[in-house]
Amino acid sequence: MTFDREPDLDNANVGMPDTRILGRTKYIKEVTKSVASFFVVFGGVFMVKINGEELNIAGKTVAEYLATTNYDSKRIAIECNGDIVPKAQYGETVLKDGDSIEVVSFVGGG
Amino acid sequence: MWEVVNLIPIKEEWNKALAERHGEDVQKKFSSATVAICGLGGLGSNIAISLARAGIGKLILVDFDCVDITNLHRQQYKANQIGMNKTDALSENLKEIAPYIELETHTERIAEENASHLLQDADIICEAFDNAEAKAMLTNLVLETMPDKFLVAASGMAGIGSANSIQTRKITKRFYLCGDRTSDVSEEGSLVSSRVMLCAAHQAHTVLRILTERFET
Repeated sequence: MTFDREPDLDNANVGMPDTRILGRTKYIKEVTKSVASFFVVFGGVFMVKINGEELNIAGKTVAEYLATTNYDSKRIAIECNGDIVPKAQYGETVLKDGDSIEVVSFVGGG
Repeated sequence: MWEVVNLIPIKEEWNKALAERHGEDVQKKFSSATVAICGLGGLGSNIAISLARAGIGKLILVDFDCVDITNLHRQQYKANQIGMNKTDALSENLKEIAPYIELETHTERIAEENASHLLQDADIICEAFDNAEAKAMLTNLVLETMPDKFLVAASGMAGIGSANSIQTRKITKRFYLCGDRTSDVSEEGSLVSSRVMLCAAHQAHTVLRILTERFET
């Protein structure tokens, strides 16, 4: 059995973060980020931008995405790449890599 | 009363004054425009007054409701107009402000069945309802079925939050949204005149900017 660090024999470090493990996690995150930006830069965009947030939901329909959210379907309008998505087409509109979506959710008052 | 009426400038004087203020080219764009205002509450009544003052040629005013005492804290009606149709009361007020404006009124509820008929002459449509579902219905309807028209809608102006959070955003080429997008009257519990007027001013101003081809990016 091997340890990543010296065994903590006197429990002095209990509850303290293991700096070597943290360093490794950070390294993995950095690598993941570089791989992601490689795909973005070289045309392999695989994310859908919804209200400014990148989400990995390409392939889902608008209706499937909405089902995972708290939006009230009677109070929204959806824009995709500069055009409105007709309400009747939420079920058949498939979100593609690189799509940019804005869900406008109306609140009351006027 | 007759003395007051006689003091109203003739149409030529009126148009000349507007052209002096706005410039002839801009005024021509304003006076040849038709703008529909859907909902004549806090937003719609204020939008209408701004646009009438700017010299917009024709307004289409649509609302099914009557003036109520609870409207007077933020809507542009007067105590002696309680009980009148909002379309009639607002027409009266607008004619006092801008006597030569053309007004078309519809005292009915806009729904999917009558919208294209009511709004067919409009270049720009202002969504000024208070109900969130009605706002979404009109927005989808206009953008889906009237692709040549502009829509200026509003969402989020309730409560006493900062004036600076009211903004105008371009959502598509023909769809602009004004408001803070979050202040819901059902959560904030109230609407105050100044903040509703701010949002209405954003809408009216967006109309004037569209007419002068100053589109947001």
